[in-house]
Amino acid sequence: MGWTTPQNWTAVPFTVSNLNTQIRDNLIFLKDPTFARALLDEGSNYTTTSASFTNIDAGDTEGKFKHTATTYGGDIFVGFNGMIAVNTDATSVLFNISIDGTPYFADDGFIGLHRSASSIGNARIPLSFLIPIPKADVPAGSHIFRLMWKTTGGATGTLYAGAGTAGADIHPGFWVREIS
Amino acid sequence: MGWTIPKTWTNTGVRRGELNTHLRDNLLYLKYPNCGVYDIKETSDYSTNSTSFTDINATEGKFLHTITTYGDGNGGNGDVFVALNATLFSTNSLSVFFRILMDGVVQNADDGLLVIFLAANVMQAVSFLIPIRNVAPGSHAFKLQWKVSANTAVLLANAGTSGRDIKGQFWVREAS
Repeated sequence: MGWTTPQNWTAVPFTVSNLNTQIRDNLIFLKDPTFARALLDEGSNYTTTSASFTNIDAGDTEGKFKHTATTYGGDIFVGFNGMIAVNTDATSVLFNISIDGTPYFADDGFIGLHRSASSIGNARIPLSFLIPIPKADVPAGSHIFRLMWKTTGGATGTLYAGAGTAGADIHPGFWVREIS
Repeated sequence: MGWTIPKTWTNTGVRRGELNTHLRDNLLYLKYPNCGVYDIKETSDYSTNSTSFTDINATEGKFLHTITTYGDGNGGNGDVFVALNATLFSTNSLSVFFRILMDGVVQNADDGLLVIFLAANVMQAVSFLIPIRNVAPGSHAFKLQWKVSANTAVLLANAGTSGRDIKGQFWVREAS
């Protein structure tokens, strides 16, 4: 059930139709806005060596690191949790969001992990973020949200995906929700 | 104050009671959905040496929050946010794993939701917010558990530990 722009009430009595559309349906939408979430359990982890932002899921499967969602003109939350590794000292793994195929953040994206020569242990690092996309950037309609990544220095970045790696059998999540 | 499934209006004779129940009360619930918050302040920090997932503290209002949820507002299932902000410490190198249970059912299989690698004598922050989807209307208990790869990990609890007197937070909120 979607959202209908509330009317200006100019007269009473109400009609049955506008009571249901304006009050019932809009209340229900506010209670349960557009929401898509992936909780991944894959047979192998995701990896990249790309030096430019690329989709995490090369197969671009809907419901993994790609969510197509109809929004109604509100702000959008995009969230992620997972565990990342990069295999070379002095390199980084960098992340971006794309909306309808266009990277949302310029340059090196909006969040990243850098492995220094003194990085701890095996350099597996948890990453969790929640970012708002302002409504001005997401007009009402159908939109495709993807999570992208790249590495520097030719390094291999890994996103653990519940694939049974010993000590790193972690299940990442990626989700998109119209805030209200 | 909870949520009432908004009625389907079949006539235009709107009664005051209907406006209060279906409009006022529901708007108030949307403004302030049910939540549980634990400001992690104790007289001693939490610690574990368990290598299998175990409760951090299953006391209601601590690392266990029981809230009543109202689903999608129309009789179906809805969504709940679960979040943690905390700081970990250990005198040894080790990994610390976390997972969430709803009504005793594990929500993150295998090694759980996330793992933090701690170097010896280094503090490390852990912070996440995740949605739990398809939560049926009703009362639900959300609990956080942890384990370590070896040795002992500490979760700081604002307990007066010198240089590590940090308060975290564990909270649960119906998404709307």
